Amino acid sequence: MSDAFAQAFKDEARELLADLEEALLEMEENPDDLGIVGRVFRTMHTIKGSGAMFGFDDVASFTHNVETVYDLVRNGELAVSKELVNLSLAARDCILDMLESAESGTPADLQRNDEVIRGFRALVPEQEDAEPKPGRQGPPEEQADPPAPTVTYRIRFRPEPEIFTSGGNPLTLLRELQELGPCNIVANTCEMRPLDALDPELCYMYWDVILSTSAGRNAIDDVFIFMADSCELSVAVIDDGTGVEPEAGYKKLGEILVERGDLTKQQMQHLLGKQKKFGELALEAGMVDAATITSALVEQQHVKEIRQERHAQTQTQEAASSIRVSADKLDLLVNLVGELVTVQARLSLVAQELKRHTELVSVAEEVERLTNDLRDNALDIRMLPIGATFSKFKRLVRDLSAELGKEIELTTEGADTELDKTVIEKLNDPLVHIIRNSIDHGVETPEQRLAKGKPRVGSLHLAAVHSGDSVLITIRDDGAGLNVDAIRAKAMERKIIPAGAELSDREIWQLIFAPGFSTAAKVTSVSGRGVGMDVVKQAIEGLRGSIDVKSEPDRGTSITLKIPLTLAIIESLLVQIGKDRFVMPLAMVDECILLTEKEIEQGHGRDILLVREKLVPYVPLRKMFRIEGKAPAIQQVVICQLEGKRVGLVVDWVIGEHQTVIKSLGRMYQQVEGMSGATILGDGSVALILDIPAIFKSAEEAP
Amino acid sequence: MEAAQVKIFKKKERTLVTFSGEMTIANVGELRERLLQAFAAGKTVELSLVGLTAIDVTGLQLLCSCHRTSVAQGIPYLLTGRNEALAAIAEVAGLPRLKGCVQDVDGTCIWRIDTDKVTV
Repeated sequence: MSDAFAQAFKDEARELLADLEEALLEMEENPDDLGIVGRVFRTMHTIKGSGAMFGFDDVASFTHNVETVYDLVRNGELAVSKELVNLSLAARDCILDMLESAESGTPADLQRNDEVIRGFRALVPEQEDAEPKPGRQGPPEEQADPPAPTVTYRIRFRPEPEIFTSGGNPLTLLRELQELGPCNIVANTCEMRPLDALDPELCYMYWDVILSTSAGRNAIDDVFIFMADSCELSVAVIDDGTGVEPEAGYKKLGEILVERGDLTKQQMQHLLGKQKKFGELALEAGMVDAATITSALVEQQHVKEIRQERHAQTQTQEAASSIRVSADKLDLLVNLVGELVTVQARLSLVAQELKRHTELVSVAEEVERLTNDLRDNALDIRMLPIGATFSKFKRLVRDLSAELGKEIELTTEGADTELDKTVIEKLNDPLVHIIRNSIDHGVETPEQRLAKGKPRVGSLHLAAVHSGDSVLITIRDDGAGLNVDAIRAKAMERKIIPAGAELSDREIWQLIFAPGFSTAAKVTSVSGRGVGMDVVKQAIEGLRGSIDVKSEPDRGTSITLKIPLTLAIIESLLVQIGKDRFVMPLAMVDECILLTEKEIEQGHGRDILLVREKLVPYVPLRKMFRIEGKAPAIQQVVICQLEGKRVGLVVDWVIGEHQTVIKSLGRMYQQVEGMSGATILGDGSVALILDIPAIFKSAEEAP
Repeated sequence: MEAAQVKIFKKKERTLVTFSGEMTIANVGELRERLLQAFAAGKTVELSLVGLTAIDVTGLQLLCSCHRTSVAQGIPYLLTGRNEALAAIAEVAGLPRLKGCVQDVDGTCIWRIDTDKVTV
């Protein structure tokens, strides 16, 4: 078996497992919804089927056991219980383990697998179900994978008159047909007699059935298997499930009647000579009965609908069609686009210098426009909705709250907000930390909540929303809120802040991100070891994002992460100090103002500036980076905002906005403080990207 | 099984036939005789099915046959007290339709959908 196929299966299985987890959690909430049970069953079935196909026999046989139980649930023989959901979630983890162990070569935890299987077996009421059920249910299920096309049949079923006395019941057969798929049944009563001529025990009716089913002709024959000798049966395919043009419509009424043998071709052509609706003509001429016409019209309508539906489906399928591309290829594409953006900037620069060549200028403009479109498209391809990450947290919240004896409901909002794939991947761990903290420290136990007059079930809300070129992700709980006094006391004890320091609530809230900080009285398995929030802060800053905390006692805490949409290309501000140029992310820039020598003097040696009656500290970058030469008489201050604080960065000139393609610094320079990367400018020179949070930090720590 | 009951009330301007229980092959023979009697009175025949609990194809045929009789003899025939048991079975049997049969000149077919006689 080729590795590529096995890899494809693993990828698919992971997606299926994610879907399964979501379905299971949904099932727990709505245990009576058979639609969700069906979804769980189908997912298991697909994992089993493709697992066996690609040689993952352990996965297949394991899943088979689970599937057996779900077959019972689906048939209403077993109720959805908490236990079942727990076991199923455990089974999902087992399958994931098996997949991963196949990859890494370490054996899966067979003992745990056995335990889960035993748990499932215990749920099955009697042992008779241990074997897969033979009979009608089996074969169509197995064939359903890949799905057979939906074929429409015309069935004329005329039982022999004595059918009732021999114990037959046409209704049972009709019901079985209905179970196979969308079905139009028309009873033909034209042979019905008045009471005086009626033998009530004979059958005077026959049926025309138009059935669309993917179960195949055999399934139809199976329905009539016990009646084969005592009825007239004709089955014909009238739509094979392949054509998709609804415009083509379906056969004319006359053609249908001829095909059914209700009318001869000559009769039809005779009637067609007259210009009237065919059905009326046929009826008037007394050649056929009204019921026959009705029946034929039903066929016409049914096939039209089926074809229209299929057409609609094909269209949505076409619209939703996608291909699987490895993330590496996308990264390469984005890198190439980045290079192109750089070269384009250079081209534009050259064109500016050679203004005489109007043709060159217009070509350069065209290239610029196309490059911008290409860049937006390339970045867009890597965008993923954050919903997949959100739904992962459902499981986390469920398991954690159960472990801690709390009742918490997770709600999400803005699941379709899109973020760069790499950003989403890097967001996962910080979000897990924050959610864990909210559940462990934030939301109280049901008893505590009731005592405080709050609803028994706590709530945790995850929301994502676009804001300019960033995404705001908010994690809000309605728990106890941050305990300002406890944080202050702890911070003093750990000497993070000096004793007796007066801090605003906002500053105190920020302390929870200090390394090694925890106010939890005891260490639980979830949190309290004091690693976490500082890691969260580092990770978010690594994404060029920021964290904001808000909290109200007993009302809850809300943590907002501001994350840039993408890591590859950012809008930035290009500035110059001496001969060196730097860029800073535009998202953090508030405003630019002038700084004269007189204003510097007014600071009396402290780097403080008065902006609209408010003091703003500033960092002279020329001094910080030890750039030689003299600053111009009038410098410029770029005021940046971070975590609610405004700090100015002093530069010689502000050049303007710039599309920055981010290049990471070489390994030797990675530790340099104050720089987060580099970019290549249009003229081929390198500009360093300022790491504003790091500059803020070092300025704060400076004596 | 609950025994089926047929009662005939001769009213001034109509003959009311009430049926309760299951209308199946077991009793359609007897019911046919009673209905023939009802039609023999020559007045409008009203068949009330309020008490109907179940019906099979023979029962449906009988209801249809009454209509044929009514058309043939020119005696109006009303079907009243239709309930879900009847509607559901009629639906499975594919009886509800937009237009009656050839004999149904006046559009009194009991299976017609637009006459809201059969609730679908």
